[in-house]
Amino acid sequence: MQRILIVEDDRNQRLLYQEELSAEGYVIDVAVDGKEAVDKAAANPPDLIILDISMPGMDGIEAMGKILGGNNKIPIILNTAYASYQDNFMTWAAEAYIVKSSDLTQLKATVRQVLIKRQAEEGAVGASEGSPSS
Amino acid sequence: MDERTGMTDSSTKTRDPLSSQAARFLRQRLDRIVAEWAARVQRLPSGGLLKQSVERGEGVREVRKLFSLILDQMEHPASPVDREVLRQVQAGTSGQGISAGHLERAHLILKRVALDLLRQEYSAPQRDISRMCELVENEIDENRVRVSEAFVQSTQERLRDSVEKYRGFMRTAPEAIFVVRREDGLIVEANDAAARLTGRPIEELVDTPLAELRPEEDAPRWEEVFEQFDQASGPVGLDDARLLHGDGSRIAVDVSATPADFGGQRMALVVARDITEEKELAAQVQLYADQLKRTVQEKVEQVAALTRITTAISAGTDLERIFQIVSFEVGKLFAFDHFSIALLDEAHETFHVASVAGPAETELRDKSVFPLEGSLIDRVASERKVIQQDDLARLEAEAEGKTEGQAPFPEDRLLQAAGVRSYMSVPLLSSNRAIGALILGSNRPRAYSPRDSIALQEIAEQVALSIECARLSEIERKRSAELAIINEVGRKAMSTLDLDEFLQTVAESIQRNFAYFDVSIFLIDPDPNEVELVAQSGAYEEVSLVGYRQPIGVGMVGWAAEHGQTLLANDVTRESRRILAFAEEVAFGSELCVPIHVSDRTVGVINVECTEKNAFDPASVSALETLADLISRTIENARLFDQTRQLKQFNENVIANIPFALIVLARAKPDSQLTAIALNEAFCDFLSVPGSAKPGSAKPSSESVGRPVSQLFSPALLEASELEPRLEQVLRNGGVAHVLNIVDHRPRGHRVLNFHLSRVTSAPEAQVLLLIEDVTEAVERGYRLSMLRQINATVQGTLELEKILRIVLTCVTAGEALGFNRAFLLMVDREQNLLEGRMAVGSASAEDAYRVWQELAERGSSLTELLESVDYTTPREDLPLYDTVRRMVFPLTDEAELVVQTVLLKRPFIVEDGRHDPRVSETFLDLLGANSFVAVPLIAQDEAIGVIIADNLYAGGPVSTERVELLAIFANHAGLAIANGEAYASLKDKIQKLEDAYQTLEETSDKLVQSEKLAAVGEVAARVAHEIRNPLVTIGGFARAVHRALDPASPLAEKTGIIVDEVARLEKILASVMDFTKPTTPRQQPSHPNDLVEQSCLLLSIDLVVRNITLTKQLAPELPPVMVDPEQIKQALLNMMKNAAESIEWGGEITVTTALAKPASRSPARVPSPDDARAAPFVCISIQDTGKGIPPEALKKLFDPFFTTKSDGTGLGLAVTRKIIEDNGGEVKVKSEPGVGTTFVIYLPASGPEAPGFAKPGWLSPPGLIDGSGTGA
Repeated sequence: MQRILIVEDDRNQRLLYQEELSAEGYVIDVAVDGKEAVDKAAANPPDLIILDISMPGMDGIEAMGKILGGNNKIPIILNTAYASYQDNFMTWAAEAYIVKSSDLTQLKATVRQVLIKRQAEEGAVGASEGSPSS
Repeated sequence: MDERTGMTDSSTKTRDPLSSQAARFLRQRLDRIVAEWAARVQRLPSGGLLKQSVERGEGVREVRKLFSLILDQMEHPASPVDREVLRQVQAGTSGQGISAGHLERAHLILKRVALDLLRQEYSAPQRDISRMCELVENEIDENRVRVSEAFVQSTQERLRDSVEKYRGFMRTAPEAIFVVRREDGLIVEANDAAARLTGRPIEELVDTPLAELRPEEDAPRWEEVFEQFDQASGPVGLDDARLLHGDGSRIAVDVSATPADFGGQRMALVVARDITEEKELAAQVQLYADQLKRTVQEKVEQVAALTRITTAISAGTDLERIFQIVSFEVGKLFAFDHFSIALLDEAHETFHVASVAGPAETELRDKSVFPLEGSLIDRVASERKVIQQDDLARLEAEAEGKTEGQAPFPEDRLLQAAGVRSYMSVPLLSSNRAIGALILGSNRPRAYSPRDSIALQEIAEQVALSIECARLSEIERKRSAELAIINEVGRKAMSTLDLDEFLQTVAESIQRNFAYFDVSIFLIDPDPNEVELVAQSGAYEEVSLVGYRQPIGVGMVGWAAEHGQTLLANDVTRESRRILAFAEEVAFGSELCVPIHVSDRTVGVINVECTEKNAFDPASVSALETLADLISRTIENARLFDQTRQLKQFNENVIANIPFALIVLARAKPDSQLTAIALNEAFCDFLSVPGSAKPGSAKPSSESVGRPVSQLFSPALLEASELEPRLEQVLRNGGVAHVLNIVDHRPRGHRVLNFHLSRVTSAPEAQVLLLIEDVTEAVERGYRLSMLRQINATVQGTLELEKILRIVLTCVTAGEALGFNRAFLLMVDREQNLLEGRMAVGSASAEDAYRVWQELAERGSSLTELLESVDYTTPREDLPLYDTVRRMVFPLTDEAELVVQTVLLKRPFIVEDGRHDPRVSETFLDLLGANSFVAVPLIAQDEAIGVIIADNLYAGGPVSTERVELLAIFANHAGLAIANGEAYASLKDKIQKLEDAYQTLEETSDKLVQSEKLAAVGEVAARVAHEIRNPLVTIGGFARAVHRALDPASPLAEKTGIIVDEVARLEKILASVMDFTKPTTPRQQPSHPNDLVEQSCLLLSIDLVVRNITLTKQLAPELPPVMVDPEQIKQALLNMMKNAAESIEWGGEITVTTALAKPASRSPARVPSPDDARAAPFVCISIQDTGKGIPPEALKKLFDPFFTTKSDGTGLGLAVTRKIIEDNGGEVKVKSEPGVGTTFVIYLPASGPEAPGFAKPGWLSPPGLIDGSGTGA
């Protein structure tokens, strides 16, 4: 069972992702802001984090920095309403950058791909160092 | 209230409680009662006035008040009402004809209404009701009586007023008024005016029968009028009647009688108006009219007399006869005892009596002469006014008494002697000039009135006119006699040159024609200073001796000779200068000495004597003076004769030898053409065509003599100079005429001529001398200089180098200018050290040259016109001699070449025979194709910048030094102009570069503005978009979840499907907005353009099917890759294709083409720059549709954000497209034609094989997957 941490400040969206991804067969954990996400990721590292960027308090990019600072093996998908953060090189550290859409096909496909890739890496290299690159 | 308290209480009846009960009851129903009253009034069979007042509303209002008053009375019986009732009656009746009867009726109706109401509606014991009715009835009746009384009272008051008014009118009337009782005819009343008119007091008039006031003689008329009066109903009148005044006199009056009834008695209101003054006035008018009639009659008589006088005067010029008629006619108009006509003499010193009627044996008789000064005639004539003397006898008495008054005139005494007591004198004026006066005298005192003087003046006018006529005709007669002699003398003078014989003839003619006593002519002999008698005719012929001499200054002749002035003695006895030359001379009568002048010198004197005094009038003096002139001319002629003969000889020699062409023209017959009668050698040369006349050939002069003008000159020349009319003019009017600068066009060159025409006056028949001056050389020189200036102005006026070169060469070859056949221009190229042929002007062949000359000659156009007609836009490559000039290239180091020397030495060369000239190379001559030519340097700022080579290849003639000099001067100017032109050309290059730079700057600035615009859009859009995107995700997401969960066939599924679709649409719009805000740096990589197109087309396929669009792809094979972000470009292509599809709506074509574009063709509007040339080629992708097209005004804004022509578009699609293309280093163009379609063209920079790769951001997914679905526009 793969575990996904969904970080989303908007309650309804959180609910949406939780339901949709549960339906895909993942175990879903949620965080309402960056700080909770950092805590949860440190306490119990998930297989994948879907991270919103624009959030009150600690935003997604800061949170991503802290999470990756603690454990750089957790793949993170940035899921945001803003296309503009792509220019911020910090976002390049994420596995993928998705602009939010009501159509979750893309999100689901990316989640799938990222998890497959992670499994393959873990299987092949074990606990090797280095950031993912293409 | 004050009014009421002032009234007496008229009511004493006791107060009954039922009365006030009834009143209250009725008052409550006041409206109904009044309405019912009105209704009943309306129903009345008669009673028009009452009905009318109801209709107008007044009646209702008044009755309401009235009834209200009655009710008041019932409730408070003490209220006084009289005055109020009276007021109401007056108000209600005044001016409306409401009578007491009407009021009664109104009351009766009111009573009935009130009682009916009371009986029907009041609930009370019958007894009480009866009692109440009674009370009401009483009260209304009482009021009715009051009203009637008031009415009567008011009528009486008005009657009293009328009577007062009538009496007032009577009293104050301006006309006399009598009221007469017809029954007995007694005056009942009369007013003040009547009393004044008749002079009797009113008391006396009253009770007097009117008949006593009229005079007996008028009685029948009065009776008649009163008979009429009795039958008439209106007034009757009696005009111009009389009334007896108290003092017995009669007064003229107009009378009118108006019938009137007073108290049943028939009265006559008699009004009498005093018309005495009117009658007097009429009498006066009549008097004037009579007077006027008399005056008119007199005037008619005068006019008749004048007419007779005028007729008589115009019938003849015999003054005596005229004077007789005038006297006769004047006699008819005026009674006179003396009538005389006095005329002034020429000098206004004396006057004479021309005619007199009356006692003859007075001093005032015919022909008697009197001094003018101080005379009556003088005063009348000089002041042009009438002088009238009423009584000469009294005047004399006054003069003795030294009383002031008019000083007596000398004539007064004479007139008095002739028995005249009073007289009138009027001036005779001819053309406003006084010529004399008329005197009309009578033996009675005060015989003439001022009116008479006007008539006399008119007669005087006619007399003056006739005198003037007679005088003029007399002068005319005398003049004709004088002319006869002058003519005779003149003829003599012409026919003889023997002076003595001539003078003798003159003396005889004068004596014969004028019948003078003696005529003698003296000539002055300056040497001993004496006069000599040379001719004589008349009384002293026998006794005097021709040859008699007398010193100058002695006697009248001597005086005239000395002073050169005419001396006239009309009475020789008073002339002190007169001497008696010999014993036989008679010492009385008049003598006249007229000097003879020859050019300001006195040469002789004509002396004429008469036995009578006053024999010479001014006219005869001037006649003799004219003769003296004639004589002097003859004397002069005789003296000049010899000189003339010598001169003639001299002239002929001069004419023959002067260098000007000279011809004398005259007519053989009066109406024939002018023909040559004499001409000189130069004229023959002028006629001959240069070079054709063989030396030593027969003299053409003999051939030309006798030929008419039209054969001597060419028609063109005749026309240009207008020679024939000018010859005629000079022939007719004399004088001289000059016709300058006539151009004579001849087959080989032209010449410029000046014609000088003058009449030869000495010849007996009119002849014209025509002098022809050939000024070609001078004119040409001047012309060339002015041409040079003109060329300079033209050349300096332009800075276009090509044009300057053309002008320069055109001037060199223009016939009117320097006149060379061909001209070549070679310019120095300092960089390459070459002398290079640049341009040539002229004809390529002799045939062409002649054709061009022919045209120019026919057109006769000037240089300016020629320069204007040149088409400067012809490229120099197309000019005839371009091939030749192009081959003229000489290194400046080739010093042996003449043209190079021209540059190096900076001086012109003339080559007359190139083949034998060592300075000229064979090569050059072959190139030029001419053996003789001129080479002139073009100098600018002391440096030779080029050479002009000019030749006369076709004309073949030698080149004159003068022309070469001219060419050299010209070349200097041209050089400067060319240098300027070159400087300008290089300046223009710089300007062009600056302009390019500026344009680039402008473009950049435009782009900047565009991007700022976009940034602003982004800011707003971003804020809104993100706020919306989040909830949309939730809505859409759950909708999808629900939708998925539902059975697709269920009705809910359809609805959730709609939610999903709608949310997707919203997200799509947001994406297109937010893409703007996505400042992505394109992830460029070498991409194949055709692949990009193919992939975009795939995405479009659904739209194509939906809209029935055929997509054609024309993709060029082997295109280089383009360095772009493929995803962005696909996005852009898709946008454009969608746009194309949308413009088609249903059925059409989209053609997508890819091709390799040359850099230059990418942007034709821009001037190609070296940057473009070095730039990589472009791939162009064009998308062409057959849609509705874009209107021109929309085309400009097409790429602006939020601009859209679609109802459902965001207006961002194309803005995004452009941003993408430009971000990728490309350019997008659009052209469109409404109704035909639109073409979008994208230019993308092709990457060479060495194009560097681009580091992609390192996430996993292919960017297409990420971007494409989220942002598809």
